[in-house]
Amino acid sequence: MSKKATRASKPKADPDAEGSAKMSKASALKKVLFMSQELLPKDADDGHLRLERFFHPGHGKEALFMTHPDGRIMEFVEYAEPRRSWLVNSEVCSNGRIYMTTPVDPTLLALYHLRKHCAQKAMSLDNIAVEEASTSRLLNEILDPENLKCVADVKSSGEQKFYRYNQERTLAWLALKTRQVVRILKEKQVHCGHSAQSQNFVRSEKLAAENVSNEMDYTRMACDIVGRYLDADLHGLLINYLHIPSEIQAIVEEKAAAQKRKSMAGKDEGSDSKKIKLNDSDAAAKLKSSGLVDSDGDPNASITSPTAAPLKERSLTAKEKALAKGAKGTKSIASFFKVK
Amino acid sequence: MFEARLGQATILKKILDAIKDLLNEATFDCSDSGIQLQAMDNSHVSLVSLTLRSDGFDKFRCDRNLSMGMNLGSMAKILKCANNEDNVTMKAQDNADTVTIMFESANQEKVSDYEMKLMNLDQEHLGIPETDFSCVVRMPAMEFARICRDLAQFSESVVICCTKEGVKFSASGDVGTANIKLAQTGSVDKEEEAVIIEMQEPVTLTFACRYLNAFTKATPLSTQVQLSMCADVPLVVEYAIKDLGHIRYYLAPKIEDNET
Repeated sequence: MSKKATRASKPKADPDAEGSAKMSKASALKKVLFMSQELLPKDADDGHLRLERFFHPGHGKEALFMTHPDGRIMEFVEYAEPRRSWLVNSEVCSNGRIYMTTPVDPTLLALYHLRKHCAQKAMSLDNIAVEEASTSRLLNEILDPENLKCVADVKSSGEQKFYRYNQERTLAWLALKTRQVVRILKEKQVHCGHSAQSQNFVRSEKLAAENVSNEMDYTRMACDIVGRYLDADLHGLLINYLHIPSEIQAIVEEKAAAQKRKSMAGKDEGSDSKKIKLNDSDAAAKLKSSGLVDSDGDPNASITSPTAAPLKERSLTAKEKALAKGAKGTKSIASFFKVK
Repeated sequence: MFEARLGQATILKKILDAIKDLLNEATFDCSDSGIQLQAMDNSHVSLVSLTLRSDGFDKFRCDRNLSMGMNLGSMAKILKCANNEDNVTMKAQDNADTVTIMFESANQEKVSDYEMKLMNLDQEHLGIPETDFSCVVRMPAMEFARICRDLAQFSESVVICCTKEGVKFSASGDVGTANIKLAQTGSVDKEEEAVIIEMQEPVTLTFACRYLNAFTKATPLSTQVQLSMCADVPLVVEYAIKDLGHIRYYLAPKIEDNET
């Protein structure tokens, strides 16, 4: 998500003085941080980049953020690998994680506090969570109150503005955000299906066209990305709002679709039928691993939930086929007994 | 709340074995009079009707009428986990989407319970009219199973011809023809070995052999089987389940001139 990752800031030895300021607040002594050049304050600017802790709704606890003097706020994304450390100049930095910054909309962070405090009554921002220094700094100094009208009803009396959390508005706004993420995912051609796919594997155009994941996969992925900044229950609401079916259900449907595709491919022969077969067994394997079905027998037979539509497409066993054959020439029983 | 307890799991096992070949899934309709099941096979040629009376159970409680759609394959799998002598209890809450099946060993030392998901099956119930059958044949269930098995080797269809003299099962195919005649037993020493024919008028009907063979899966449930026939009306094959109820199979006759 971050625009670029120019390697700019390094611990103390680095000419950028900000490095040391950061280090003093962080838990480990030294950290390696990738961030965009333009974020670094111009030489003797008055502002400093600050590392601060705010409540992160997606994590359910406080997390580190970086705030820019101009009001921007950036989340820390951490890439941790076991057994890695850095060599900075001649020092060993045992914390081998890589941190990157990515801009965050402070409204998302404020949303949690609004939901917590302003669900019932409208409040002004400086009255919310007065005892929590970080929260009130977030709400009063970083947040642009203009943006709050996307998630709250605003009532003003004189100079004072009061905000009250509005769920419909919030969901509509989050849906909009999700759609934006969808657009970006599509633009970047991020693969969003259930199966993993190699990005650098060159596939023929025809296959690529066939394997495009559907709209819902993109929406699900985007919704999950947005949901990382939301409370779990709000994420659930958003999923409902966007009518995203659960992934397991989607796999079941995909399996049904794959079966259909297979039978279609059988008709127009061709080399790619082999690929599609693979695809099919793939889905079956996934179904198995999802714990939905027993390991023996055909996978669809034992799905007993009423939602499982593919039940009907189950192929007949030899016994059933024999019975069906035996039924030839016999009248239907329904012609003798009428429906009650 | 629904709860039904049977002294021996083996009966339930046999019932499941008797219907699971014909039906993949079926609805158990529970009421305070007992458990009913009615379903057609996939080809809609035969109908299975199972009645288990509440007084046949060791314990039976059904506060509200309840329909439990079950996958019979799954149910049979669960029943395989029971020992024959185990007590078996079926339990479900009102409006539940699962049923619990519990097995207890005779000395209560082992208790196992299994929960199975129920299904929503939209099955329509067929009304079965009262019929005065032209012929009603009672014969040993084993004998009937043997006849069906033997004749299946010759043809897809079996002709059952019932006259005053007795009942004749015949089949003809590429191999040749087969005829099995059973006469009414003169003296009835043992009731379960008797062949009894009650006839109003002679009747000849043709049926699909495979289905008759599927019906004979119920043989372990009963020593005797009753075949009721009437021209242009489905055959009824009834196995009584001692003290508990009965299982009836209805099979539509084959249309004549279709098979040689």
